[in-house]
Amino acid sequence: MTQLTIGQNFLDHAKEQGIKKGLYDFPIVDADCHYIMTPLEELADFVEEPWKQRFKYASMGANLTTFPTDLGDRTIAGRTKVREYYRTMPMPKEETMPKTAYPLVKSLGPLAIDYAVVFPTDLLNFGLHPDSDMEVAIAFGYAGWMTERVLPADPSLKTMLYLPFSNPEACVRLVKEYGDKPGVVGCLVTSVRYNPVHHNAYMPLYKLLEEKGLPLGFHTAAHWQELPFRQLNTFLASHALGFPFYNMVQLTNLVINGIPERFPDLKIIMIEAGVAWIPFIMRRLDLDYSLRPSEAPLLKKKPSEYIKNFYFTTQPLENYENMEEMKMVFDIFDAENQLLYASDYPHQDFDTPSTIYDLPFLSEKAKRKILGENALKLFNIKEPKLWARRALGEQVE
Amino acid sequence: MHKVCRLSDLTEKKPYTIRLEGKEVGVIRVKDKIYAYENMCPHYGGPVCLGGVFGRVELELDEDKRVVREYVSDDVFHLVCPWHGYEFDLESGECVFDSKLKLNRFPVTIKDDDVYVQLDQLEEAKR
Ligand code: FES
Repeated sequence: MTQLTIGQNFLDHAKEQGIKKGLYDFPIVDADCHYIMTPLEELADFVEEPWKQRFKYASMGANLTTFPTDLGDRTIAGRTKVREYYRTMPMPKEETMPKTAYPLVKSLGPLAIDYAVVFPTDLLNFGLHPDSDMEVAIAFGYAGWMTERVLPADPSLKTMLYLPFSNPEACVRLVKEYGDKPGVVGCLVTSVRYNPVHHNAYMPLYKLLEEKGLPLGFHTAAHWQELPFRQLNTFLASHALGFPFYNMVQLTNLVINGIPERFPDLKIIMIEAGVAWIPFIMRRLDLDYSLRPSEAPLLKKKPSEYIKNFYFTTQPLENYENMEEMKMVFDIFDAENQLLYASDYPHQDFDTPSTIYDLPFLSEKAKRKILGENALKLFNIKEPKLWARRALGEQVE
Repeated sequence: MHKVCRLSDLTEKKPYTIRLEGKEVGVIRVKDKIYAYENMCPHYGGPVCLGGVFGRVELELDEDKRVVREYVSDDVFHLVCPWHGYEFDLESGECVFDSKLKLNRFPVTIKDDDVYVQLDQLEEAKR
């Protein structure tokens, strides 16, 4: 009898769930998933010297000292195995897709995901790099490599471009050069950083994104080494607090400084902090605004009213024992219209589409909106194809 | 009763997981005891038996409640789902985080060197 293994059968159950629940019958968009390692030597082809040589040489050993990383063992000493599955997936010799993206693309079908907005894991903490010129070089190299080598490799792949937020002018240049390339559906700021989002220097960027109709995402992370988090002795704790924390900081500055008033058509997405923090920050900001409106003169309504126009991603969706409580949270920020499914695959706390599809209080219509339609509209993906059906052996053109 | 494998096929703490009669079952040997669980995690349906078996991590306190050390139990074992890391007590099948989440356990019989599992019946296991 054949034994089932991680390598062969890791995602079998996801695929079976997808078939059973009809998840292959309507478009599912994953607003946030990842590949693990950015191949700097390939980015070298898209930058000028001195970065070209530096990136080329990085593959000889400087990779590890180029990307600021977050502490913490995501595998929990080998307990979770998604990384093992991802890293050990064999790639056929004749495959032309960039090696780093191959296991992601191969996993989308079993997960019933038709479109995936992919972002590199190793850039998530790049906002901590002290060299702004390095951030700019990485951002341009990544944009070139992503739009020329990765996105064309599979029609299900989309991306939000990494913005070198330490240099606002470079952000504008990058959006002008790459914002209209096929497969680019928005731009992204990594939330772990110390560049205040309301600084005057960013206004041309927001204006440009608004004009182009490109959403602006804020992707959070844990960053265990953050000063107050150094008291925490577990990754569990730093993960629980860090992810909502950085998105709260970015969202608070955006709202209180009236960015949505100044750029009413700029679409903002808060990525990877789950949903439980949203009612908290709404009530908290409303309270403080009610006491000190003179400190937020641009606001014409309560902070929570602006927050209702933000978009949020689902993952990691919190556990609620009481579905009424969860429904209330969803209703508070109009989840049916403002929430986007995200898997965060292949990270250890990835969510399959079932996490949304199985919620008993959502109508079929709301499930489909959260799993796909909201994102299709936001990312301007027209005439969507059911690419995941390729995993069922079907030809999709 | 279905023959799943030979006793000698089983490696200590390494689930032997197969598909049988439309079900998936993982057979686990720990300290000469054999367990058979359905390969279905009650969290989001992950393949729990493709995960590993780990001794429970415990914390030793002294009489003043100070931490003396962290150690791994040699008596209590957890089967850990490889999707998100939910841990299940190997004796009871109950999830450490929420005992309402429980694995399905099948009765096991050993005859000579052969391991048989009864798939049409669930075993009530208690710790
Ligand atoms: S499905 Fe098993 S831990 Fe989530």
